Amino acid sequence: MSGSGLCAYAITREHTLDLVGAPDVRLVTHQGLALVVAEVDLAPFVELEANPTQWAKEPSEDDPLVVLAKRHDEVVRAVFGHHPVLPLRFGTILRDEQAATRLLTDHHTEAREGLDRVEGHHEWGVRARLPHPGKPAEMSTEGMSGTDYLTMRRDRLAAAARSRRDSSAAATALHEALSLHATETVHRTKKSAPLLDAAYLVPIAAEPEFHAEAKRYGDLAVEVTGPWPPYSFVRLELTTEAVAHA
Amino acid sequence: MPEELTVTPSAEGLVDLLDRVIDRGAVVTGDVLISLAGIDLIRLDLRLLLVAIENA
Repeated sequence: MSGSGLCAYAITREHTLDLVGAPDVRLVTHQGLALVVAEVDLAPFVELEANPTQWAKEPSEDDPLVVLAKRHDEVVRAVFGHHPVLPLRFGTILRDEQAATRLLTDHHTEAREGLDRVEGHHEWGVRARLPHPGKPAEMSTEGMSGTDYLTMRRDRLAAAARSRRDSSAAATALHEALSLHATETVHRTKKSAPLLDAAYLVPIAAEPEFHAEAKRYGDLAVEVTGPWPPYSFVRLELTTEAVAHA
Repeated sequence: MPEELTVTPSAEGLVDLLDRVIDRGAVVTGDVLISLAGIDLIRLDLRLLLVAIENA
């Protein structure tokens, strides 16, 4: 497959789009709604699908997927700076403008409701970890009796377990406190490695309190990222059927 | 392709960004030329990567 297609980035409200430096990005509008699109060359996407990136270590800035994904985020963010957006998943390429219009027509109500829900909000990511991995002090076991050694080992393990429990309780308290300032929350990973890895949909007016809360938990290593477009809070599955043959 | 957009540079890590852009957001199916929503391998890689970074 070659040629070009219409890359779709996000749904927003109809407005006069003025993205400095992105003349190819435009809006396809329908009854107050708009799909943010740009004509793109299909080749890099086809290539990506054929040879999915496999990372052995951290992704690099010049990885083809990274380049395209960053571009996607930049466009979403540029609109998000001024209007509510429902980000589409990266790599959604429509056939033509007709398909774009149909998408808006078929999902008008859901899209409207979605935009109302995220308007005036930013997504913030919060991760909490154990503060210090806590390397136990080196202690000479020379001349220690077997019983003393086992006692020492047991005490250390118990102390580590206690500190994990305390931290885990603190992370739960942190999440509850942050949730009070958020309209919606979502846990991003189910892994227990970070004590907390969640996203919060926070009303802009509540952001100062939200951030103050995140700083209140000195016992944890808390990392806050954002503001993000509401990527983690868009759960729409949109289906567009071809009118003519596909 | 334009070099710059009116975008505030963000300090988030690349993995955080990729995880959101690739694995979240509305999914469109049906009359699409390409939908990379099916790139499960990449997503799996991302998950492993996130875990690796967490445990680093």
